[in-house]
Amino acid sequence: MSFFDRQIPVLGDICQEKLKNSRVFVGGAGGLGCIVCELLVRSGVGKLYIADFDVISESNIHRQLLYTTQDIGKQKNLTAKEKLDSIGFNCQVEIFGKIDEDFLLPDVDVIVDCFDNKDSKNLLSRLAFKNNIYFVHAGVSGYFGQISTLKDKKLEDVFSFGDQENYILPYTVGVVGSIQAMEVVKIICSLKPNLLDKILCIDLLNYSFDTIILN
Amino acid sequence: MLVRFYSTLREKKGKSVEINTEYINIKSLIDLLGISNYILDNNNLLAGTMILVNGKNISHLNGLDTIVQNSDSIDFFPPAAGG
Repeated sequence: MSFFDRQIPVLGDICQEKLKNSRVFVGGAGGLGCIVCELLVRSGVGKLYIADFDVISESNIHRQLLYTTQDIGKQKNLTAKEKLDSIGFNCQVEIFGKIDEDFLLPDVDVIVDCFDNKDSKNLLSRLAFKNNIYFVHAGVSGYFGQISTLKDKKLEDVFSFGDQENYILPYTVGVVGSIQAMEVVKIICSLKPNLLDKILCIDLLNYSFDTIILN
Repeated sequence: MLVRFYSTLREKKGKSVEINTEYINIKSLIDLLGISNYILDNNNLLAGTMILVNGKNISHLNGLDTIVQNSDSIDFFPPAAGG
């Protein structure tokens, strides 16, 4: 028996081995970040880097599934690492605080944008672009969310974001974060179709999924 | 041309609309669609709204002066920035 007996029949041995050897950088350990990080660890990703400088607050708990009321006031990155390590899989989790333009990005296969504001999202995208690394973006607002993968474009070449979003539902975060994690696995395992140069728009109010092809 | 709306704009205008018109700029198209109140402020695009013409953001074309025609696909999209 192995931890992955139920997923290897779907993904295959080669993909599972690729996941084991993969390194993923996740920017933001909030709603999306908690889902993405937990699913990637449980998928068998070998190394996970997490960047977040924030502390856990009361308004986080309804959607940030790695944290409980006992964690209020603690650092998100440290707490996320503790919870992810406690799963007991062989994933090395390394954490960072605030990142800036001079941040020395570790050698990774995929960068995942789980940040909650345009400045951090755009900064991470520029780092991904500069280092020629796949960038899996997502954002949520109320019932709505979008996911997009970029490689030869920066986020600011495609998206025009507004201010920080304060209307977040846990269901939207769950769906969008899960698809974002699926997208990371697809990129690592070269599974098609993926969301490279597309935007998947999710509307949970009307239960619609639409894809925009980017030019 | 096919005009598609997403997210909160879809609640106001429905999923999509087919417009039959010759060359028109995006500003005039916005007026024609009756959505200026939702996405413009003093003739400028509100922060947090993006318009794609055939999958390209108009901010990298000619902005609101970008000319579109019947064969084009236009997406009005307020991207979500939350996490």
